[in-house]
Amino acid sequence: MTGPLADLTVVQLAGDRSAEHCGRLFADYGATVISVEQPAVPAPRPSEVDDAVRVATDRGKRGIAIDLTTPTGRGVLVDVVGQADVFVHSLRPAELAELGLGTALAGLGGLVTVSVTGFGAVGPYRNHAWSDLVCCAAGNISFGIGARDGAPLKLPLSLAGCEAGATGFLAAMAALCGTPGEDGVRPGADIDVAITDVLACMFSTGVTAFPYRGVAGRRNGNHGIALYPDVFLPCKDGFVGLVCNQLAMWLRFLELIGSPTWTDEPRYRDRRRMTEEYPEEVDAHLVPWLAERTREEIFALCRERHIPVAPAYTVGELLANQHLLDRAAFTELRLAGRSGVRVPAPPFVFSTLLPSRWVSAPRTGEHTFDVLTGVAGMSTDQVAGLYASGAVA
Amino acid sequence: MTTFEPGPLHGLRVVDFCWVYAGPVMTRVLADLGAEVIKVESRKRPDGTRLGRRPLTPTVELPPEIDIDLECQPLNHALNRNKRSLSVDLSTEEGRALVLDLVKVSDVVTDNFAAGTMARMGLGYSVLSSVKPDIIALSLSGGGQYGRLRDVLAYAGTLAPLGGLGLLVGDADTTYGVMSPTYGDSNAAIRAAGALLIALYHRRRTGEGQHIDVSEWETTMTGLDEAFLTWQLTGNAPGRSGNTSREFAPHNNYRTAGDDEWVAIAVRGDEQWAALCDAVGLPALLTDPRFADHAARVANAAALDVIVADWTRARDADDIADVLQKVGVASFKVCSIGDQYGEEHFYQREVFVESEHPVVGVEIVPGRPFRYTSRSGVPPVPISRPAPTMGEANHYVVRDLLGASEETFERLTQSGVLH
Repeated sequence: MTGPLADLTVVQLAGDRSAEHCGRLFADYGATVISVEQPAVPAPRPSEVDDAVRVATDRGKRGIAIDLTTPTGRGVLVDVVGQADVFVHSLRPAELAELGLGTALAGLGGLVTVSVTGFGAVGPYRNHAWSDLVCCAAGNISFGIGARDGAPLKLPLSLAGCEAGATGFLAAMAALCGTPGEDGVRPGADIDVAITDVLACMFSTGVTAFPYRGVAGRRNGNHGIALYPDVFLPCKDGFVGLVCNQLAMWLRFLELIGSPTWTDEPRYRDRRRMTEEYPEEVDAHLVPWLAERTREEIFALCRERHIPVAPAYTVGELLANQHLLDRAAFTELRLAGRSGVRVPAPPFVFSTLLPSRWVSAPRTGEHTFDVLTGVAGMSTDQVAGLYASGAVA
Repeated sequence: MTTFEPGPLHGLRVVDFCWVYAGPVMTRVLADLGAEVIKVESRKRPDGTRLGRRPLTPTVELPPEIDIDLECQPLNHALNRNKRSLSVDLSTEEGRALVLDLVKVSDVVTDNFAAGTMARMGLGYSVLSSVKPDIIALSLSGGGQYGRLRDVLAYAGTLAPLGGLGLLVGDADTTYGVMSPTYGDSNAAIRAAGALLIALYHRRRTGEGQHIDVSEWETTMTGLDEAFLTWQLTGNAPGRSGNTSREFAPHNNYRTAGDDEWVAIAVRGDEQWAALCDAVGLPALLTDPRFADHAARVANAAALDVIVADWTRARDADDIADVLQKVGVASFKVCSIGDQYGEEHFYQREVFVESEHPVVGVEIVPGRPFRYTSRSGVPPVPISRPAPTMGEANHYVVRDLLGASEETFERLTQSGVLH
């Protein structure tokens, strides 16, 4: 194993993408990440895409299958976690207690635990059920996404959970960077991440402004919250995003489209009202010019003039984008019967460190024997007994 | 007297050139973990979040060095609480030398300027590492430090389209949507902070410094594996899926009583489905063949939405969430910030904390996005330091950190190097 995190062992007991994603980030830079799963339960065969998403998420991890419904199985989990630096999980306090893990974990002094749940391990909603949708609602992010009169929308895909997983990762890394105490031992830490809190704290712009300015950031269709234009509009071959946070940028854009006479009217000079009160009316003035030009033409014209415009790329276009290819922004997966399938690589260029280029994910329990003998230090006979009892698989 | 755990990054000093949004969110989370973050600012070109309409005019008497127009912006206070501020004129040779002296006694340098700006200011990684060989420098920019589009302009509204996310936001009924919150910036901040701590971990083991180039365009693509795989494996371009789900049904935000009030409901599996049917008082749904199993409910999600929406329409969102959570179904009100202000959850977990700003007084600012408890048993230090006024730490930096004399400090201030 190579990479800057190669001396770390992480045990992951994930109930959803958030904790899985946290584990993924450790594996990206070389940590040994042990994914604990229940022994194979009969399940509908996943689609090819679902299976590939699993490979992308779990690539490079070790797979161990433990039956946590048995006391022996739970004991095995504690043994494995006892040898790890980090334990990432998505168990609510009641579930942790049910598994009898609360006190066992508390006894592991130098351990860093990361709990990633919907509402956190402390607080009035600590045992609430959650999903990305529900956390996007509680976290105020849905309030700002969607058509003005339509339903509030969640973040696409599993982005909400992934943000919480990434937040858990950085807090755990800080703990691992911590200075050892007088005894030379690094103090462990318990990190409690709520998906709701990450959205409320890191993604919300209006918390402090609320008492002064009231509720802001209400969804506004294809318009953002900044002064006009903060807008997503159709053009000849797709869509472009146009943002002009400085007046000079907007004036340069108007010059580019031929300084039309409508811009003389006072109604089109108040950029705040243009965003908040009649954005569609202003859009209608821009659309004819955009409709005659492709995304790349608009992008090139605006780049020359230092106007922030971006083409809305499809994922297919991104995979062929020369700038991204030059920066090695994708990494290949090994999938059965497929070659050349790529996903985004870790998005950093370090001067001397490289990510681990993992290509495949473990089958359930693929590394049970290796982990129990290698990491947990059990004898072959002990492990054979555990297999025989059904506690591991 | 209560003592507090200062945080795992206590002793780490960050010279922070970041401004506006993404960078300041990144360095704020480092401060949350105990780092000392010194924001390097300039009166000649202040952080954009210091500028704008004043939401209030403070009535307190202010010392003459405080420029009220730079100190009243709530967003600036939210992004920069718990940091220090050095205001210095970097166009002067003495100003630049002072900053390099500060780098010598620091661990990390961060910026989120356009690619190449730090080098043009004479503060590129080669210069920084020549004065502090093990420095960790992180540059966050739109397209990265190299590549044919490294000059791309990054704002939340351009990052989502560039990164492939723009075409995924919205639902099938609307033609397109954007996200009001600044997803691209905050996501980049979280990712970049993680990268910085990987480099710090490496430095603590090997002594080696690092330059880290983070492209916000690439961080925006990070969570989109499923979209990339769908396209490559099926040939179908992934589209706007709104609140639809293959794992949950029903799964939507439903209109409730009140003006623009909504509740999120997500049901997974037969057990939760039965609990929902019971809670809404429609046991007949359990035998309706359209909803016989999970696959059927997903296939008939639209019909299901009509039934659930009919039940929620005249009820209170909080009451609905209470009823459903009691039977194990995930549900919560769609919160405005006003709603969040009324939720004990955010105070108890210190997601919202009070900070007393010297110019505007007590404000609510965002706290930590996690609860961090050291196993030493000592409670974590509360977030108490307000966002700094411009140059609040000038004296501290020059006298305490750099060891210069009071006369030197006075001279630098009089000459406008510190300003």
